[in-house]
Amino acid sequence: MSIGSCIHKKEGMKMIKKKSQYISYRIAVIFEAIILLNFVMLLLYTFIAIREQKYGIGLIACYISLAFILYAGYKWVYKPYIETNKTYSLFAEGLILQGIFELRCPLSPQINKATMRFKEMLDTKELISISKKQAEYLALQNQINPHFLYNTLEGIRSEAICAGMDGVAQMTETLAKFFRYTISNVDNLVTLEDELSNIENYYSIQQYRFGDRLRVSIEYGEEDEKDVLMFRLPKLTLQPIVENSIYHGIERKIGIGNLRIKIQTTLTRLIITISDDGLGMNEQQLKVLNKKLRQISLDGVAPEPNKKGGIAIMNVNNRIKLLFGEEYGIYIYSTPNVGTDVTITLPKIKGLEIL
Amino acid sequence: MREEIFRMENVTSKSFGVTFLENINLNIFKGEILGLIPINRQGKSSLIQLMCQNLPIDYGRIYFNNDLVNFYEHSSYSINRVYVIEQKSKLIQDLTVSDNIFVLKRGFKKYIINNKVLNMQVDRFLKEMEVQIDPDELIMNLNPFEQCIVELLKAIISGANLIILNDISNILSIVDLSKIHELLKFYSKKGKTFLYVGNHHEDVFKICNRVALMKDGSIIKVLDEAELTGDSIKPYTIDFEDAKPSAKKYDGQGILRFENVFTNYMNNMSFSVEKGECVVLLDTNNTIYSDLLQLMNGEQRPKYGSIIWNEKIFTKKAAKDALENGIAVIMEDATQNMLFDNLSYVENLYFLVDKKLKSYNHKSKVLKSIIGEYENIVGEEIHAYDITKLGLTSLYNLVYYRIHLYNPKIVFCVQPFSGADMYLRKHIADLIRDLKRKGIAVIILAVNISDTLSIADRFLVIEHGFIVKDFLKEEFASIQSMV
Repeated sequence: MSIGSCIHKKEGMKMIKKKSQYISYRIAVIFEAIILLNFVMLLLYTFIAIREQKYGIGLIACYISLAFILYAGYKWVYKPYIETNKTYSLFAEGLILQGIFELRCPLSPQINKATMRFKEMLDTKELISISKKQAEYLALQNQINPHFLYNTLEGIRSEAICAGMDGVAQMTETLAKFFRYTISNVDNLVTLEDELSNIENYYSIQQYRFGDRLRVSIEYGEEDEKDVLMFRLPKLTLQPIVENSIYHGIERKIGIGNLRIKIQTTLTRLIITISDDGLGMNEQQLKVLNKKLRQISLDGVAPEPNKKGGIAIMNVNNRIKLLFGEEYGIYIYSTPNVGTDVTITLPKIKGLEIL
Repeated sequence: MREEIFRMENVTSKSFGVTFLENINLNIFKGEILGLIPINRQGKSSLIQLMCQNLPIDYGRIYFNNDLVNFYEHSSYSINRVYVIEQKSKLIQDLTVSDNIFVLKRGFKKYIINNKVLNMQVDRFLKEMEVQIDPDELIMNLNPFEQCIVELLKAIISGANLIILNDISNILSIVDLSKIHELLKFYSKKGKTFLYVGNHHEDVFKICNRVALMKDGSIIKVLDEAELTGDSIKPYTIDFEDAKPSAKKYDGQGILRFENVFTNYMNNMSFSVEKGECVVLLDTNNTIYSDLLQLMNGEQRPKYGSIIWNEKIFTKKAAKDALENGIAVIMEDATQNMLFDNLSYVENLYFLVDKKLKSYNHKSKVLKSIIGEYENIVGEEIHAYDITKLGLTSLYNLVYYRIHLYNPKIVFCVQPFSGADMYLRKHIADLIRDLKRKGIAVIILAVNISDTLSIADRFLVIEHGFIVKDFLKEEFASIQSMV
């Protein structure tokens, strides 16, 4: 025997040993052995029945029972086991979080209890608070003391009014409003009206920089505008996306950049699409980003300075998914040199009630 | 607020390690006609299949009427109330219209069938549609348009939540297609929901409220109603212009001439085709093509008028030896109908040319010489033994280069772009240009304009068997509006 085949054999044994440490593997082996034994005995029984020319009914009953056991085993044990396994695999890949707590067929009561205990320990509220902190951190990138900032801005505004510089006064007021909204309590859900008015403030500030080069429009679908504005969503959901669109899409574009916020509602969902006609991103980048957005991730709680935009979107997505479930969140469509559409899907919430 | 009929969230579907659908997000509102343009073929059939049946998916969720019907953990294999209308009719040809609609309906439990009642119901719907079809007529006696109407009616009566029309524009004439479009609009206003799948944006944009573009198994863009313009889709399409030097012009070397030809469907048709010219015949009623092909192969003779072939009258005898006389045809779905799976690639190429060769020519020597000539053009695939393993692009190469090698004087291409995605259509256009470069005249028989303008030198519009307009290349811009 060659050394190569010896190594292969050893590796094979190791693999079986590794597999055999799992109870699922052991159950499968024992189950297969029992079925095989049954089948051999049934063959023997068939042989005897043919030789003796009797036990016909018993033999048929045995075959039917075996077929029934095999079918029940497939439907009742194998398929649910595969489904549960798939859910655990998706959890391991980071694609789902809630899924393993809502299994259709848990492995055993003890494992189920342990998973629930794990859920309590994990406590998604903690994750949400980390995420919120991240939002605050992003809003406060320059490490500005908010009260000091408000007071200074108010000071500048009054100086500007006294000097007759209305433009500066107005700009300062808008900036103060924007910071007040951004930095104050991030805990609550706010109305879409508040979020959009914050976007308008942000747009006014950006207009001092971009002038006519930036155009923002808000469109409503077939729905009643007043009704839609009362729907609630997590604070600072829209601004980071708009900021992203401006900095990554429109800023480097030559010519006028258009940013469109489209609001649609369905029976249960609020869909907000933020589209820009900026630089867009390439297919590979888009694929990676959409794949990341599919899952809940706490990567980048301490953000890298030059990756600000991407992290802001991830953060908004994480907050939505943690608050409302994995079926909500962000999806991006983008084409290089054409533009980017960011679709935010949220549940319809009016007051404190999810519709 | 809009009611959603169908929704897919982050759906990923793989099979044997191949990803067919990747992270697809798509929703369809009630009463909407959503267009779907597959830029390449990947994922289209998987998407339609998943809409029809809740098959296992690798990730994501699928909702119908806001109910979760399929998700990554559990797929029930249940069937959704979706009806797909395709080029190939699903109706039973030996049964009548009303039997197809009612008797084969799921949940039809009557033991005694009262044909009168069924016919009355069908009549009521047909009146609403303003279409005249006898409910007692066998399906086999109906034309493609009528069969399409019956399928639509069946879908409406069966209460399908979503009706998918998968690439139907190739089987219908422009007139019939516009009637179908009107019906779709009529029923969408009544709350019926449609997914209109088509390869040509000109066709899809006409009736859809929104259009989703699909590429590599993902939705890459959803265009709103305001964005349904040629400019919006331009970044997602490829240029069909000829990259190689344009074909030589052979002015005045007429090959085929029809002089006042009358047949069952042709009504005083006169036109001529010159060497190396590409002429598109667009029949808005889709009736003359079988007559035209039958005239060329001798199965039919003109009732009046004459056909001149190479400055001589095209006799019945000449028509019987059409191929030997330099008249070739590339049928619709040529890769299915014109290739031999049991022959190798090079033997398939050799298939027509063997008719030209004398019997003492050594086959192996000829094959070697074909390989020598065409290997530079088609590449390594020329050595393939099993053509069933080749991709569609390679199979189209084989169909067109077989004609290229045979070098007929004229080739009739029946709907050459039918069912092909954008990349394949560009490739087919390049193959037709290669035929033109060799001096072969090409006649394209089309039922829609699609991509024919990029290769045509002339464009003839036919209505009720009569040529109503002959457009020259410089007049092509006005074709779309006229048709």
